[in-house]
Amino acid sequence: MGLQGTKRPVSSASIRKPRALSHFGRYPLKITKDQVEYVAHLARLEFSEQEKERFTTQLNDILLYVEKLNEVDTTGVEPETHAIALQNAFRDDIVRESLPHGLSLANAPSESGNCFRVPKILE
Amino acid sequence: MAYETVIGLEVHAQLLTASKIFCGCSTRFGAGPNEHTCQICLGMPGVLPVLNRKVVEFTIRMGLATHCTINAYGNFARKNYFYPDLPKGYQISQYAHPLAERGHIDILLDGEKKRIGITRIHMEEDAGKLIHDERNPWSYVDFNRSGVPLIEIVSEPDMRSPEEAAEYLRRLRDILVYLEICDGNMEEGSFRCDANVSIRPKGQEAFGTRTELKNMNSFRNVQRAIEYEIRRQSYILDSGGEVVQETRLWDDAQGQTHSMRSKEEAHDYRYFPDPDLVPILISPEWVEEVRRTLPELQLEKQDRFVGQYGIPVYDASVLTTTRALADFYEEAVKLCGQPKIVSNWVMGDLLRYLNEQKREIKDSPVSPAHVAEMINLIENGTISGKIAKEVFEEMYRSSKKPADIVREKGLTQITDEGAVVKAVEEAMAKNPAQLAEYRAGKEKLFAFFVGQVMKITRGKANPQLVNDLLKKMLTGS
Amino acid sequence: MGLNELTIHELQDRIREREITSTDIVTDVFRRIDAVEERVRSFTTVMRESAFEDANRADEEIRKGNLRPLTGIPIALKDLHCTRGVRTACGSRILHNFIPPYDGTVVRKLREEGAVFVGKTNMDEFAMGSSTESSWFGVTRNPWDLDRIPGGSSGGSAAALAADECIAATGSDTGGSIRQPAALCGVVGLKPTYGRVSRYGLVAFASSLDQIGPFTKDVEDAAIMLNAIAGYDPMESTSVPLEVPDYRSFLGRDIRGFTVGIPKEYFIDGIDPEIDAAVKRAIAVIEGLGAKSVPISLPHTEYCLAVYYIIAPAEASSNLARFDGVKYGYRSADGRDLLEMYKKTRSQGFGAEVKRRIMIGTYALSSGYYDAYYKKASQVRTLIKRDFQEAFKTCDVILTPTTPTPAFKIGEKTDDPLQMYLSDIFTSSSNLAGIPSLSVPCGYTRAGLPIGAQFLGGHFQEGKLLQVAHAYERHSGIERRRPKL
Repeated sequence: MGLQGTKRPVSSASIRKPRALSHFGRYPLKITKDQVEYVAHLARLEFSEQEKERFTTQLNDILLYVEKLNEVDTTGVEPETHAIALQNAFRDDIVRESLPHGLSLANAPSESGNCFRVPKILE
Repeated sequence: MAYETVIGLEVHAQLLTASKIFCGCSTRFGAGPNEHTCQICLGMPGVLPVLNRKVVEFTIRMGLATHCTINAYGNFARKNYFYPDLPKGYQISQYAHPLAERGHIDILLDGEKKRIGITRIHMEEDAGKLIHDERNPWSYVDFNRSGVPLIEIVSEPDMRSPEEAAEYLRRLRDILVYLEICDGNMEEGSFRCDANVSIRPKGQEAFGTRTELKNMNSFRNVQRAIEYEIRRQSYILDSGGEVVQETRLWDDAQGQTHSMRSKEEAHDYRYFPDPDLVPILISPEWVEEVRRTLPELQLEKQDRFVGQYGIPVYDASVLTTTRALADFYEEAVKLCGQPKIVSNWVMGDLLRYLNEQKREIKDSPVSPAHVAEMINLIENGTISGKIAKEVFEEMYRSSKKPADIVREKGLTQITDEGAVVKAVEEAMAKNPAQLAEYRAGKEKLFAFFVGQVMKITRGKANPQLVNDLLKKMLTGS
Repeated sequence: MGLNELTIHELQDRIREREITSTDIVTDVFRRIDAVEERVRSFTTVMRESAFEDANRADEEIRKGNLRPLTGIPIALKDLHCTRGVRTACGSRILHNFIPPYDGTVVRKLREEGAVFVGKTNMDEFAMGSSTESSWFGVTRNPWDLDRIPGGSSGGSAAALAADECIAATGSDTGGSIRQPAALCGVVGLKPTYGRVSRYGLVAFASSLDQIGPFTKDVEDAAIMLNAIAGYDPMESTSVPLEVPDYRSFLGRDIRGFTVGIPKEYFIDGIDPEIDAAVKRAIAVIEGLGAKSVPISLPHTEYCLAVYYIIAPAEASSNLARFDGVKYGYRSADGRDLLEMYKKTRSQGFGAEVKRRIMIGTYALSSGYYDAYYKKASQVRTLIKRDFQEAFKTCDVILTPTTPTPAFKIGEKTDDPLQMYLSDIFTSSSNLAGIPSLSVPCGYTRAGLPIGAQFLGGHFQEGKLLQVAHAYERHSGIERRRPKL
């Protein structure tokens, strides 16, 4: 499927579908179901078996798409973390009012004794 | 087999700033739960961190005091993991570009100096406090501590015994306290230590597998935990086993380390540069500015005291334990010009009273001016050294000036010969039997008569005069 | 014609002349909301009561003669600005009950300038999407064709404005989330330079890319809104301490002698031919005004989307870790221990697209993959930024289509994330480079769907962008249409 509203399939390099979408299976998987499970655990997410299958496929599509970055020679190129280069943004060591009493916990799903309450960690 | 121990320490020190590292909440200890919190340190949606400049300055101070290189470029990274005391789901810390690296401190053990390398010093934010309830399935989170500034000081694996580790830790704490950037309180958690411990057969170059020890909240426990761990690892190796790389918790009550039972998750912190914070560029001028504000450190001060005041090394080391004590001492010396006598009074009576009441020198009811004035009173003969003890006690109790105490209590020394002669006569009259024995050769009784005269004069008689007169009058010559 | 159909500057003129009051405007706005909201569904929270209170206060100020630039003007806020005492849900179940204890900086500034808040607008969950279909609060519809999407993620703001349910609106733009819905809904959308407008109080999606900007009915209003919200904020480390010019002063200036760069990489096969034609007509209009168009090249354009779809999810995976059921928002009742509580809360609280991006981002940062994905993408980002630096040596602004297609049908791309991602193909580069860009209406398709042209400028060149866009708007010859609702 091309972009909506066009008859021609998208053929330009910039909006080409990744090869693997149309030839899925001929390319090695970038991410396996096991890895999906590991990453889900790191992110504290859980999925049904069906969701896992779907996610594995979708993540593979996306990862294959971003593979194209390997075409770019980045030898000696500094990675950019900020859009605008700034440095030394400081505040002075001055105490300011904390939140008024009660507002800190006003949104707490569960609280007790002015503390946030959470289920225990099972060891 | 004979093993060699290898120890490296990771120390977290809470910095004594007024406000938190990324927001304006107070860092003060002891508020009610969550009272020192705001949207920023609670990690509410939409908030952003702005770095407290003082945290950088304090870190540079520590870097300089430990002979580190202060890096011209520093930045913050996010350390991502989930835990209820971590409000944002990541801790803002320094990773690839810490502020200070490659330093050292010297420790002294059994008179031998040893150099311990400092790998790095970096800034980070503290987490909140998780309180477990033993009786029900809940835990409670207090975020007052969340965002309190910390520095982590990582040592090289240069220590070879629990004693060295404890000594390194003490020195490190002394420096932090001296720099007035951390209160060094291990029990309250403002100074915390994790230890990486491994052993290897003597002579072997490669390190053995290490374990990381946590949860040691006193110097003694650090030493005990490492001692235990060395025994445990030696036992494992001796019986042909292998040490497992893991984190172990020190159990103070049982005197043992325990493996952290919860599934030791593979640590995958997904560090990346924090896009909400900008790099810290430290110019040589800034470093010099901080260096100029650096106080004289303990060892330098100790050396100076020995040279300048001519007091013994031991005195100097005690008097320089804290900056406040050293300042107290120097102030008193300045006022009375008697370095050794001041040292005796400060190290003796003053520290004893303070220790008895667990008070800090800054809370001392006796001021340096008091001490100096009292010493002057002794020097000019107004009171005797013995009376001074009494004056000091009263001074400590009431914070009154020594001259006032002497006047109110009528403690002025009796130097009038006639008055002392009278007292001697009275003592001889009251104790004819002892007098006879003394005159028969029992010279030990001399002290008895000194006591009697002092009793009659309520301790105020000039001791030299009492001695002279007794010697003359007891023999009847 | 209701007052709700007018622009900020038109209303300001009539307020100044004491012809109308803020209450009159707000009354018309809510009359319109009552009439069309059921069909458009732009809002997640309508602030009727407080809006009339705000209007009363504004009228009081007007009587006293204290006219601020936005006094009495009804504005809609995207539902990711933290608003003290008013729910801020970000289109997510996980924040469905979150009531911030503070106002974000932009909200505070708008208040200080006298604005009246109409409500909080719908959006793709956590601003992740290009269609406003991923909101937990339901789909917002395009007022020009209710079967189509309004674009995203700020679709609610764009739709509310196109439907005249407000006079102006705010949005946030991480990869095109202001400009793309502005183009698809036929309004002006501006993404300022990174650091120009404070992000404090904006619920973060991708911190190094997010920027707040206005949706307005014309370019002059965009300048008025930018004047109100731009400026250094000590609450944000990445806020830029630069003076804010009066953006209105750039309007009406001649653009004779301007050089407009036309990057060949943005005019490619696969663009809707009607869009291609409309943008080319726009180029001709600008040339007619005495500007010169020059072909330029932005060689790394084809990598923008790949870079974007690594960096944005990576930052998002970390930014969204705070939603854990401990301090605020949704908590699943099913978790018996902490780990289970975390997983159930997050799995039930986040929608599919958010989870997908958290997964990509977590993977891209995880041990062993950081260099291959995050670091590599950050390096290519440097090259993309350099492309623009080079380009702006030879031209004042760059002109491109905003989107490759007009508004698509609801549901058309929901099962194919990658196709959905291609909606950002012309917009993500601005965010990666941190440069300002603006989408301005440049015509309609035969089916009557709006088309947008995108102007891009160098860092802090918003004035130039507004100047060129304003000149274009006045001379484009495009009739001003309204959606039939």
